[in-house]
Amino acid sequence: MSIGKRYNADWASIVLGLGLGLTAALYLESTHASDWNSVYPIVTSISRICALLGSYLALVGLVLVSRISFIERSIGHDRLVIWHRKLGPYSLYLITFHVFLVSIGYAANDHAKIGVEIWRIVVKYPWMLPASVAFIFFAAAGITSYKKARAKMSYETWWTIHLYTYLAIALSFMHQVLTGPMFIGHPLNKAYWTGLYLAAAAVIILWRIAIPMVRSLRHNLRVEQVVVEGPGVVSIIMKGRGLDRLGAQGGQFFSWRFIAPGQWWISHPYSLSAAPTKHHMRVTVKALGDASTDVINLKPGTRVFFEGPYGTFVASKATRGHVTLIGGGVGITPLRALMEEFDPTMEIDVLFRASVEEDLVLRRELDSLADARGARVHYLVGSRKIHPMNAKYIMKFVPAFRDSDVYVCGPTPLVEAVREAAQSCGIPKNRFHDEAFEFHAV
Amino acid sequence: MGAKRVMLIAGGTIGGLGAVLSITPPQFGSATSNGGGLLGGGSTTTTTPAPTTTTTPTPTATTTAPTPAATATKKATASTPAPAATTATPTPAKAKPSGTFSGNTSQTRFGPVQVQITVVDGKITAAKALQYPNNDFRSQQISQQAIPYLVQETLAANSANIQGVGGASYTSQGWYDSLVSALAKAGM
Repeated sequence: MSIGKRYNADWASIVLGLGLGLTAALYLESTHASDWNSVYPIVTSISRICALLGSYLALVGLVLVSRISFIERSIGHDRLVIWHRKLGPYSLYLITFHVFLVSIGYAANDHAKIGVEIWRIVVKYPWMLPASVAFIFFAAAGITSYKKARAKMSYETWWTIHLYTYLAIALSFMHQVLTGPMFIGHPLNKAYWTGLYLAAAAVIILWRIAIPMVRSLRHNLRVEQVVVEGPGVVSIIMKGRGLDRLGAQGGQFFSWRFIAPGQWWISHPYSLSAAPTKHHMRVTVKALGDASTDVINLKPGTRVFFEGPYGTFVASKATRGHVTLIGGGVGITPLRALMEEFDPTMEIDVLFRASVEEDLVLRRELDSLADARGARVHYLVGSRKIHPMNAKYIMKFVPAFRDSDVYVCGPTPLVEAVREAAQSCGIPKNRFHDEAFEFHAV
Repeated sequence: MGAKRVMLIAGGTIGGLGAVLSITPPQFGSATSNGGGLLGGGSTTTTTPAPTTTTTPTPTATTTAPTPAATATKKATASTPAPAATTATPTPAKAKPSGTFSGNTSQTRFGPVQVQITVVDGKITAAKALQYPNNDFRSQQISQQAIPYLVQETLAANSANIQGVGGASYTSQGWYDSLVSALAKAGM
């Protein structure tokens, strides 16, 4: 990250903190001594503060990934996604605390059994049924985003569940302003809170819907050809106008939405598998998820909506005269695009891991690129046991590994193995560039 | 997010919080004087001792220290036929109040409380809330649960000497304040 970006991120942190303070103040400003003078009022008070902060962080989480162009430029998409992932769990914890603590606090105050009280709250209080549904949606999105759960499901399933957080945040709004003592009889508090929600909604509608739609239509991107590259792997070649103005580089990815029956509703994050030109972009895709299998059947002329480009997995990040590109399976595709982007004086070594020969996709292209610019491509076919990706093994093929910039893309175990290898060689973080492709987009 | 960012976020939070709280500080002060009155033994409300002194200890009080007792009752009862009844201590059978009396409206944090009592021969036979907090659902629910208890307590005590209902401290306080003024109007 550049100095400028770091500086902007500092400012963003302060703004985030200010909002957090203002939000906590909503309750503390409207509270009374009786909210703090015995155990259960304190429990209820804490639950409300948790609710406010959790909701605030949920809104921030949405805004962080809402693709606001000037924020994307000033902080960087990758950094925003990292923040989104870090804040998300806190939001869920706080809202979960709210649900439990408010049930306990209300039950004690009403001298009711907890189950009876929860039933009463959900059924009788205004907008509590939608709010309860919202909590379930929100928790589902959180749980499915834990690494272990995420690894067990397809991108499409995870994405669909995640989509419901929009609904969750909208559904939970009314119960807040109708039952929260910080809003009842406090018009200024209510105005601030409503303003936050409306601002988030406006940002999302503008930058996630309107702007991508306009850009996609303006560049008129359409599928030109679908080429089979190997078992379950296809390249989609897309044609549009003025694509050079997008400023995309090899190694970056877009979020693609193919406007075809059964596919238009979901977007996929795919990396460019060749450096983009004025009229063409290409992605190479393995049937990883439920819907990515269908891309094989895309018809030429299908309209493509896109958001992007994203990612900092780019040639300009290299700091040395030598780069080591390590790809696993279909993870080779952004590396293939990167190869075109490096300065001709740069020395390039490519390690391509695949379990079987047929999985060495784009092999002919790699070879001809390597010939053209004097790069070396090492094909490592076979199991992980035969090709352990540790420092010693990598250096058998790339003696200069220790002194190079490392780019790795592939399944998480491969990325982690190479990360360890790089660390053990003393390669600093700013020379290690990774793209774990199952975690691309939000 | 490194430690520095966390510090920046924390700093922003404290700044935002401090800014709001310095403009509109929390209302702890007003709430304690209001909320402490009922369950805290009535040390802050000046009218509390008056009803208890008139009901029982008056016969002895008139002989030893007649003036303070008389002034105390006068304060509490404003301008009603009651002063005549209290000053004429030897004949208690005379002029027991009857009628329907509405207390003053007591403003609480969650809304107004106003009590109406029906008195027959100096005995409270019915009590009800003309107004109670019902701006939001939670207040409605608390009021609906608490008011029957407050009615019971009032009938049982036949005075403002009530416990209040836990979990409904604002409504209880409002009830108490309004009841005191209703009793004063009735001259009890």
